[in-house]
Amino acid sequence: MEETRWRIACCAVALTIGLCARLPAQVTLNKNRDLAFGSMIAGTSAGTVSIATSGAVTSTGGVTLIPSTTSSAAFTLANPASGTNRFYFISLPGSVTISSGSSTMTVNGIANDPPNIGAINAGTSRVINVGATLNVGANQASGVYTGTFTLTVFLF
Amino acid sequence: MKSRGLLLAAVAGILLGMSASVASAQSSVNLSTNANAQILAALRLTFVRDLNFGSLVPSASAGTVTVTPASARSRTGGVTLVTGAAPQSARFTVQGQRNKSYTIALPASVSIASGGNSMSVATFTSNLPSPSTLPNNGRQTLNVGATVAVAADQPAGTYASTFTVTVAYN
Repeated sequence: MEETRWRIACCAVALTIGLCARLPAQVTLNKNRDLAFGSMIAGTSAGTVSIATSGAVTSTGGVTLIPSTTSSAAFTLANPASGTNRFYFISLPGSVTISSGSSTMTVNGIANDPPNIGAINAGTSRVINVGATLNVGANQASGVYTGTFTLTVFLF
Repeated sequence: MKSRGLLLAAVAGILLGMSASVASAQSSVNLSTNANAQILAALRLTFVRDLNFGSLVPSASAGTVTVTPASARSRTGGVTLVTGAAPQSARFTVQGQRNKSYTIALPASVSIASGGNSMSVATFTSNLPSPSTLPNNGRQTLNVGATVAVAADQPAGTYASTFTVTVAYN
């Protein structure tokens, strides 16, 4: 009887400790801007437009770049001061399809800066810039092409 | 016996506490973003007709003949306008992405020649400003006029040359 009472008491204490164990504050991921390849004219031969993580734009093949707003994508990974020091691993898709009606283009070579693996201590944040390469077909149909891709950050 | 029960309960409590905090640990965050690009219709400039100042007669004093983008002809100085070949502005068709802005570059001056004689054509003007925006159908008519400088006693002849107009998206 005495023993049972003790057990109940201990379990109650343990349960309270378990529930009240301070959960580390959550790491947050916010988007700063989209990946924008800007405006271009497709040629009679295929080509590419690449946006570096720095935002620098280059083209190859039959693509003519037109002055327009371009940008690498950017996210902010933030670990609050009340969080715990974490390691992260960044994961991005290998390729994404963007489309305009029934016309499509492939975006690949998706790259990030900083590199995939790193540490993010409590009270710090990291801006993750994402660049990629757009593959423009010969005589690619005109239109505004859009698509989405997901940045996943694993935390350890 | 009593203490063993306490110990077991304490261990269970610690394990429970640990598992509770492990289960709550955040393992990943993710967010989607847009990727976008715009493919524009190619910008094309198609020749329609030449710039023609028509027929004129020089005199002992210099003068000028101007053809406006609307093909109206006027003169200054010692030049007399005569009827003959109808004066007209040059005409091009611009085709491209609707509602898209583009620049128009006209030459500063060109020389037109007849054998060893020449006249300077300058002050090129167009009916469209630069930059212009293509209308909804993506097509515009570009008319170009200019002024030719006629020297005193300019030798007779048919003077001709070519000039280049350039359009580009901006």
